Amino acid sequence: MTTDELTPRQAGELANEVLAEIGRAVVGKPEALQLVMLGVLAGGHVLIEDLPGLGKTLLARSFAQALGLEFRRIQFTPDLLPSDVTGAPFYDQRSGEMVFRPGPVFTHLLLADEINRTPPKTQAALLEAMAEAQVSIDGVTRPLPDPFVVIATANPIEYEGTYALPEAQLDRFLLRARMGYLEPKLEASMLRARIDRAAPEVRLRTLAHPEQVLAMRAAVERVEVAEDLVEYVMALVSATRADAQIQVGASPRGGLALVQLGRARAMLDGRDYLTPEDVKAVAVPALAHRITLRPELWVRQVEADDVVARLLAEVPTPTTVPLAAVVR
Amino acid sequence: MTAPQEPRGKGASRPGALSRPLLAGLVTAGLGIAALLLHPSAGLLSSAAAPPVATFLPTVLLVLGWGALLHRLFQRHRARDRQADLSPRAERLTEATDRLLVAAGLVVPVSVVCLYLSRTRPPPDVRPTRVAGPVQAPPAMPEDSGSHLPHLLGPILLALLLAGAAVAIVAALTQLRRRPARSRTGTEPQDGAEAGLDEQLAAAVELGRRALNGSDARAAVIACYAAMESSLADSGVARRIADSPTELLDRAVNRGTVHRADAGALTALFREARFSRHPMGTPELTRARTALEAIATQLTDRRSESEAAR
Repeated sequence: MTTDELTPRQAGELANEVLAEIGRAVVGKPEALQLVMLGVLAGGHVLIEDLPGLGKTLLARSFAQALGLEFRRIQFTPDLLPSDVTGAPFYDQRSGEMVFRPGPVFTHLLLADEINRTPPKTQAALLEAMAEAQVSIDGVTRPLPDPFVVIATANPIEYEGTYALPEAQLDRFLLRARMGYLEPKLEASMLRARIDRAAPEVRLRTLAHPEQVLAMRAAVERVEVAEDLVEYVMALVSATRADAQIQVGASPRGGLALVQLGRARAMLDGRDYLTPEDVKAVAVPALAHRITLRPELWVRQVEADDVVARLLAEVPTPTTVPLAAVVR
Repeated sequence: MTAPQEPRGKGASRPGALSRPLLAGLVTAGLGIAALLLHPSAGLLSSAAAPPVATFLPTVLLVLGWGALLHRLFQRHRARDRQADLSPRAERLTEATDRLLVAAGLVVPVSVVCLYLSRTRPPPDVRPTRVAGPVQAPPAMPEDSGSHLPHLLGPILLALLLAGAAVAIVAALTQLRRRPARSRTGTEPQDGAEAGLDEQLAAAVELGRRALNGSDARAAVIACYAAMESSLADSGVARRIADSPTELLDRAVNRGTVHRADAGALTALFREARFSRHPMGTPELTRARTALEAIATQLTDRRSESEAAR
């Protein structure tokens, strides 16, 4: 398989191989794994929100290992400074000059662990890096390695000692995934597997390298999108702005995320065209974290996921026969 | 050709929107009557009894409110049933709930009226009369027991109504238990319905075959799928306005209308024809024909099986 150019089908096959390999380490979470893979393929950043101890860190490390990406991890704490993330200039006594020491953000795959444990100022240090794939310090802009992926983990907002992520930063995550607890049977098999291998973690094979990840991303761009589906995505995004339960609807970035994630899902399915199923499958992970619900819904325990799911059941999908054909 | 679609707009999502003003009116009227009842009729220290109208009106309002509440519940129930794709057991439960709602709508107001009537009967006058002069023996009470009847009428009616309600519940439960057995054995009307469904699908298959004879592969596949979708709508699995092709397929398969493998192949071809722009030609037409023939074979098998069963 050449690295230069991959067809959507070839890229989909490679991505599925990588997913199967990661599935050896992260047991019983195929949906979460697929969502993270979609985020990587679509060229975005992923937020994994769930309680501690559910395998979020293991998942991120497994992706880096299987995709052959350089991996760094930042444990976000209340006393972490922005320069601890991006890097800072320091005085070199030998040369007598200020030398820039790159921070952990200069990597292919950055695990921002428990990102909502640090104050907003340090969280915001990641903003430029995530949006522009570059860091500006002392008036000098430094590009980050390509590909650059942030997999951030966050504890639920109500959890003690956490700071809510600002909306602007949430919007920069292409999708939000949740892990959830394992089924009791799967959890038992995971425990047995751990006892059998007599080692803390499974050693994964490296099946790709950074150039191949870029080639897979390029293949996503070759997935066709019918005009009807662009209108369907727009209708969904517009519905979030007009709904009575939503205070702030999805941004235009939300529409872009929906299209790109849908295309990545189509590729993973071995297709080179987007379908309504792709859009519907990624709508909740792509849009739910971008909308702000009305405050009174907090009392009724209505979540953004529920509201987006309801909109999906209301917004019309493209008709069976193209409207252009009916008009003719 | 498009299959009929079920509208699910904003209005449809709020079936009881019209009954809200009625409900609000009833609540306001109830509060007003309650205020009237609390208002002393002759000064603060007066203990005058409220006029009969003051107790009758709340009773009537209570009955009307109960009716409105049940009506709203019934509407919601129906609207949910129409949208949901229910299993046979769920359908039976729904049917029983409908009947219980109707029964409750009758039993409760009648009970309330009976209670009202039984309480508003004037009590017999048993006060002793002051008589001057020597004490006389009290006059003997008449032996006619017919005077007790009005007092007993209310409780008797109530007991009868409660017994009726109990019988209705037992009948509904018995029906719930019997229905599965009846459906397992299979009756003629069910066979007839299945035969009708098969005929509709067969007609759709024929339409699809004709469509596949065209030269434009993309249009042919779309027309073929549209024919299948139309026949599914006729058989009760209509495409909802927000359905994706896979969701429609899932509902049809869950109802046992089509096999997943064959209809799934046709659905996959349709998605390719409808949403892709790359060229489609003979291979796709061949795959569509194969899927269609498989559906036709399945229909033939089902028909011969049902004939053999008869």
